[in-house]
Amino acid sequence: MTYGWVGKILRVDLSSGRTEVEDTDKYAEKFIGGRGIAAAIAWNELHPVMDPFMPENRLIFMTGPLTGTLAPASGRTAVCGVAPQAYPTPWFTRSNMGGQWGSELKYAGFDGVIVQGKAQNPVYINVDDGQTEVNDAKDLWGLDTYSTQRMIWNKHGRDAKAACIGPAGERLARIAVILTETESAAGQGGFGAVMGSKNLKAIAVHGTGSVEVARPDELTELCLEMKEEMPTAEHIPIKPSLNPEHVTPYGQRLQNCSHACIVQCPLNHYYKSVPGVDSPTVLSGQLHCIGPVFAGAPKTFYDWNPGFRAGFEAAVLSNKYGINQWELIIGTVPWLRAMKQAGVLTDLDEVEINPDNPDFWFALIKKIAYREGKMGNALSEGGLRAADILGIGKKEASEFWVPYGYPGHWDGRGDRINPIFYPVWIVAAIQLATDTRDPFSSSHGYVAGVSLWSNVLKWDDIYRIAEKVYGSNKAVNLQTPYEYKAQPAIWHQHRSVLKDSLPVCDWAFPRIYGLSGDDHYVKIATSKGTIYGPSFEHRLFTAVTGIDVTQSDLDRTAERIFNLERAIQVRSHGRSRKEDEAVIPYFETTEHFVGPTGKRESLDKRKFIKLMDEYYALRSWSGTTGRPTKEKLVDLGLDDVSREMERLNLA
Amino acid sequence: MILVSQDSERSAKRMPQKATIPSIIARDIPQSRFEIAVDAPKCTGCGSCELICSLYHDGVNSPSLSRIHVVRDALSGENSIEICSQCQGPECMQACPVKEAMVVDEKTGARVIVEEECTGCGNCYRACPFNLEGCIIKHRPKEKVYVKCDLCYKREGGPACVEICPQNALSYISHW
Repeated sequence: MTYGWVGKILRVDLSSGRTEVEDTDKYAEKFIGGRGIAAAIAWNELHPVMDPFMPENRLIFMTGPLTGTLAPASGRTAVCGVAPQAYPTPWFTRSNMGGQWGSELKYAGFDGVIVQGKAQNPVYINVDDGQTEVNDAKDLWGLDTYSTQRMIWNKHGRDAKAACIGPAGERLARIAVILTETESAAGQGGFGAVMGSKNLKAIAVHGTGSVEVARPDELTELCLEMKEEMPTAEHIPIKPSLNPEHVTPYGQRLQNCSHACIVQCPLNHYYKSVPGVDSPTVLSGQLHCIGPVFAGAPKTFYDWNPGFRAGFEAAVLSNKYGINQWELIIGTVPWLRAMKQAGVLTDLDEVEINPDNPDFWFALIKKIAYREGKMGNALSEGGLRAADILGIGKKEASEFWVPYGYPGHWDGRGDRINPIFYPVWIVAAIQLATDTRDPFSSSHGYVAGVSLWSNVLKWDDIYRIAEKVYGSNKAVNLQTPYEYKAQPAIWHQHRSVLKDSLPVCDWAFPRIYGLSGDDHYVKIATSKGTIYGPSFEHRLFTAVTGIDVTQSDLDRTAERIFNLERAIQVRSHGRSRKEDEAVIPYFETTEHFVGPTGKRESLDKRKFIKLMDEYYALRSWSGTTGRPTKEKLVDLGLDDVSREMERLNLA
Repeated sequence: MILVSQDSERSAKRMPQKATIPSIIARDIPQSRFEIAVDAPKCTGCGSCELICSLYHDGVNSPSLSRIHVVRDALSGENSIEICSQCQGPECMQACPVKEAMVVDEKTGARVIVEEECTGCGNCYRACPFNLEGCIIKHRPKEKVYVKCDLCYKREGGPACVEICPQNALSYISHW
């Protein structure tokens, strides 16, 4: 494995202060990188089940073979471990972040970092060209994420890249993020709190090394061709949620998040020197998909209007304090507003619930970050736990959070801004049922792809392309809502695994629909012939690593990783079909948007359960228990996993 | 994308080759013809230019080996790019004590360090008035040589960084 991977994984035990170096090779062939390698480590090390804040929990930062290379939008890092955000029982899951951090880690000589144990006092880890030190972080503890990064620069030079936590992570908020730069964050899962529980403030990395590429000419050709194809993403008609008149004075422009991203990303905006409302200074920073909604999105469910400056400041504050923006916007604030409307709650310890008022936002974010008062303390635990702690608003909370603790996302329910409609969200329901977190960090492909492109392309075009991609146009056909939906769900679950393991950005891949060509099916012409969009990832993998694979080889690897993740769920967290089907009541509520049927639809439980039967059968999982069968695990080369499951009577 | 108009090509041919070289120049250095111009506000900091540069020249991905350098301030969002501007009267070349170690490509006028001939003395690195960060002419301690942008003079299609830049922040322009 000379190419792509740099070959070493760093392990830091904060309890003893010892560091060790392990070979990536033992995982790379079977689990690629990122989320895949992290799952393999979790299978070996995260058992028996543990509390996320126990020192034995692992915080696994893992890049993949494409990180640090020219492959488009590949500069990403998976962050995995037992996650405190999951409800009611924390379980193993993953998050991931962009920025330059992962690439820099590879240039420093490591494919990943496993952090375990707990330091006695606050520390930070500094990795510099293969050398690792665990340093005192007395002067960093308490600082916000931006100041922490500046302090790291002062100590280790401007080329150092830091991933760090803010006050929310230090106080073990279950909605705390790990952040790098201004807004690249491992957001879902609450891994900021895991970092805080280990007394770890930051991991700084600096490297001058290289990532070796097996076929430089092939990689260059692929990337140059993809660059010509990819900017069509800007034609995806995403509604601007900010008033453009408010935006232009502050220099809205594109700033990339993932290293090596060549996409004209419609989600990503940088604002400069916006005068503070609460703060006496000016603020700069990036907003991604959800950031703009702090300022409200007119004519949507999120129609509050504190003004652009206050909204921007609230978004920056949540980044500085290290709080999950998705939780705040899709969960916390709509929930508080609904409770106020229902007469259940009027204020947050004397601050009136009023999202039109900038002071409400600043107070809310500070209270959560510092666990101030009864409300701040409860909300920092995440919405569903807050409802339990406060003993109020359970019914309202169930509208905004999926039952296992993550706010809605591309499901037509909790998330009321992304325009998904029946029957597209039936695939979302299968994905949510069988995942360990909100899966739409790395599987926007179906839900957003079909919903958004249906505004641009004719349905006939979408049907024709779906036939090629999924094997049947029933995968997207409006006339067949409960037919052939398990297949695209599995297809995208495997793509999600690949994107988190190679890794590449979710919004950039997979390429399916496009504007170029008459058939709108994405393709590029290369010296080796035409390459269609869904093949981009495996061609990049081969060019970088020199390992000749077909798409079905990679899909099989993805299936192996997905099954391993499921085995972890079954073994350590008692996951079964019953837990999967806990999402059904959520989808039985009425959808938010009116789709092509002309009326608001809801899930037909009976038909959905039949679909789930199909899903388990396609996966070769038991239809009664939802466990992977012994044959399946052995077939995927997971013999040791199969033996262990058998020993535990879980086969 | 090469931004050389027909007119500028013709005027380039008419111009006497040594006419504008200042008299202080000790060496007979042919004029520079092209450079990579930077429009820094368009840069989004993706770093693709650095990655394709090291991929073309060294076969690996490594910003520290790249001859173009993106200077990022991740918190203020300011990006700038450091790259050789292929000066007329280049001080690096005048400072080089080995005649064969710095040459001019005939076609592009690129000022090129010949790594095989470079003795690693560092005179060019110190002489360049723009090399404040050490990122325009870079030291490679392992190989004991210095490297700089050579406009990919051997590459079909011109400089690779210009070709990959997704924001058109880089352009390949003629000096005339």
